[in-house]
Amino acid sequence: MQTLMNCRARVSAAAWVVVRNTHTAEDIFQNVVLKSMTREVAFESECALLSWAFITARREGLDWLARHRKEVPVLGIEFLERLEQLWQNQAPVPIGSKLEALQDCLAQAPAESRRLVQLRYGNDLDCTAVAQRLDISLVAVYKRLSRLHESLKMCVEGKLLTTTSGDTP
Amino acid sequence: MMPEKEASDDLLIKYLDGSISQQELELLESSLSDDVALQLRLIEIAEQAVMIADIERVTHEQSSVISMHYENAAIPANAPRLQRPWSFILATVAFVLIAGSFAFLRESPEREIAQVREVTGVTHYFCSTGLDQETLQRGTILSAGDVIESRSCDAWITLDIAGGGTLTIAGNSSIRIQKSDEQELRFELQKGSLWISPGFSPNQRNSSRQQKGPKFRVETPTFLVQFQDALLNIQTSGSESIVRVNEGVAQVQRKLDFTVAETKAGNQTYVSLSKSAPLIAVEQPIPVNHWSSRQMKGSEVLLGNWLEGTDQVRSRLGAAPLLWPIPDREPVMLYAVAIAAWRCSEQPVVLRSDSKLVFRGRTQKSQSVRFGFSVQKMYGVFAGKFEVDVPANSLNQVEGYWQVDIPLSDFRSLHPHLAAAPDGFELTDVYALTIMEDAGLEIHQVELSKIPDPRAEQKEPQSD
Repeated sequence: MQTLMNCRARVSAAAWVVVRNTHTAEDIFQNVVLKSMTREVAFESECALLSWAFITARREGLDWLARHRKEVPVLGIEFLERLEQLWQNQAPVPIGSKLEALQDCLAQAPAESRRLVQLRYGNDLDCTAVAQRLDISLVAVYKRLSRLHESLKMCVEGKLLTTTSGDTP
Repeated sequence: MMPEKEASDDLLIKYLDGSISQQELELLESSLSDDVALQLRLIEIAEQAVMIADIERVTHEQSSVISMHYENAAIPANAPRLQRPWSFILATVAFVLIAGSFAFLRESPEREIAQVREVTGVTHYFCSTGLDQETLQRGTILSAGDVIESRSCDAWITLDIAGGGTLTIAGNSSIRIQKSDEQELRFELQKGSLWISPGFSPNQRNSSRQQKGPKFRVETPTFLVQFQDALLNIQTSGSESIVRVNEGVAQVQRKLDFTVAETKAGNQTYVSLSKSAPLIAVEQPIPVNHWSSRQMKGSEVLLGNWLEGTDQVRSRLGAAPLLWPIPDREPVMLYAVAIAAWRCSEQPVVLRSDSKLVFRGRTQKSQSVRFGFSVQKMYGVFAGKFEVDVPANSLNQVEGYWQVDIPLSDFRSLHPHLAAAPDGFELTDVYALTIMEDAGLEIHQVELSKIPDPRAEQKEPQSD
C-alpha cells in the first residue's frame, strides 16, 4: 500500500498517457490499489508490485478507451512499456514534496498560465476547448503548454534541490 | 524550419491532447524510439498533468475539508497546525483506502433522484460511473449523470421520483439525470416523450409527509420547462419540442432567446429551432379521429430506413433490425418500422372504437406481420400498446404488395391494466414488424380512419 501511494503520481500519470483524462487516470489508480489489496497472491518485492501496477493501469486505460469508443491514437505497447520502465527506474521522490513544490511553482506562474492548466488538467478540457475559452489559437495553446511544462519542471527541480540540500547536515 | 525539439514537443502536446493523427503518431513514435530526453519530457508532463489535477481538486475542496476538520475538532489555539494540506490529504486518502471504503468508484456520492418502478421492452442504462448495463433493471436507483433509454416503440419505463411523483418514459426516448440541487430535480429529455405526474406511489406515501411535490426542471434541445405539482407531457426531437400541461402550470423558457411562456392546464407550448415566432402558450387543439402517414414531414420515423421510390410507390419505409431482449432467454431479432404519429399531426389524434388502421406495404417473403400502436391518455400519460398478428395468407398479396384494414377492436392490449381497449385514447406511435426473419418488410402508408357505416352505404344510392 505504502509503495503504491508513494508512486501514486507515476502510476496515475502512466494511466493518463493512455486515457488522457485526469479524472479517469485517478479512478484507474484507485482501481489498481483496490486490486492490489484484493489479490490473493503476495508480491515478492516492491519492484514486482510496481511492475504489476503499471501493467494493470495500462490495461485498464486501454479497456476504458475501448469501452468508451474513444478512437484516439495511442502509443504502441512497446513505447508505453518503455515509459513505465523509466518511471520504475527513477529515484523515488516523496509525492508530498513534489506536490508542494509544484503548487509553489504554479503560485508563482502568471495568472494566464494558471488558468491554462486549470482548464486543461483541472477541468479536463481538450486544447481546442481551452483555446476557445481563452480566445487564443490552438497553436498558441500547444506552445504555451509546452513552455509552461518546461518552466514548471525547472522550477520544481530547483525547489526539490533546495529542500534536499537544506536537509543535508 | 522548426527546431527538432520544438516539433517533437508539439507532437507530444498533441498526443496528450488526443488530437494527434495516425501519421503524426508514427512520427512521434519514431522520435521517441531513440530520444530518451523526449521520453523523459513525456513522463514529466504526464506527472505534472495528474498532479495539477490533484492540486485543482484539493484546492477546490480544501477550504471546506480543512475548515470542517479544524472547526469540528476544536483545536487549541497553540496546537501545531499543518502548514500544507498534502500530508493531511494523503493520510486521509490512505486511511480511506486502508479502511476498505472503496466508494471512490464514484467521485462523490450522488443524490438518489429516482428509482425504476417498471421496465418494459428494449431499454439501455448508461451508469454515470461508466459501467454501462445492457438492460435497465426494476429497482435500479438513478442519480446524476445516469442515462436511460427505451430503444423500441414497445418499450417504456416508469420511475418513482424522490420526494414524490412519477415519471414515465415512452418508447424510443432517452433521458439523462442531471445534477440536481435541494430546490429542483433536473432531467434532460434528449429525444422522445415523457410524462410527469404529481403524487406519491404507495411506498412513497408511507414514507413521506410532504404536502407538495418536488420542483422539476426538464431540458430538451429547444427549451427548459420548470414546474411543481403539474401533470404534463413533453415530447421532443432534436429540433422541436412541445409541452402539454394537463394539470397545474409550467414555465417554458425557449433556449434560443430565453423568452418565457407560462403554460397553464389545458394549454401547450411548442418550440421549433427553425421558427422564431413569439413564444406563446396556446390552447391544446381539439382532437381529431383521423390521421395519415402522408402528413409526415421526415423526422417522424422512429425505426426504419427510407427506400428509393418506385413507379408504383413513392414513399417506402424499409424495416430496420432491432434486437429484442427476453428475460432468461436469448434475444430475438425483430425487423421493424415505427412512426411517431403525434409528430405528424398538429392536433391530438383520438382513437374511437369505430375506427380502423389501414396499412399498405410489401413483404418480399411470405411471412406474418405484426401490426401495433401505442397510446396515451388524452391529455395524460402513457396508456399502453396494442398489437395484432396478421398471417401471411391474410395479407392478400398481389406481387408482394398488400393492404390490410384492421378495426381497432381487433388489436389486443399488451397492458390491459392500463387500457383494455384503445377507445378514447390518443394515438402516439404506429409500427409493423416481422419476427426473427427479415421478410423485406416495407410500409408505404398508414392511415387511421372511421370504419364506414354499412347502413349509411346502403342509404347512399337512395340519396343519390
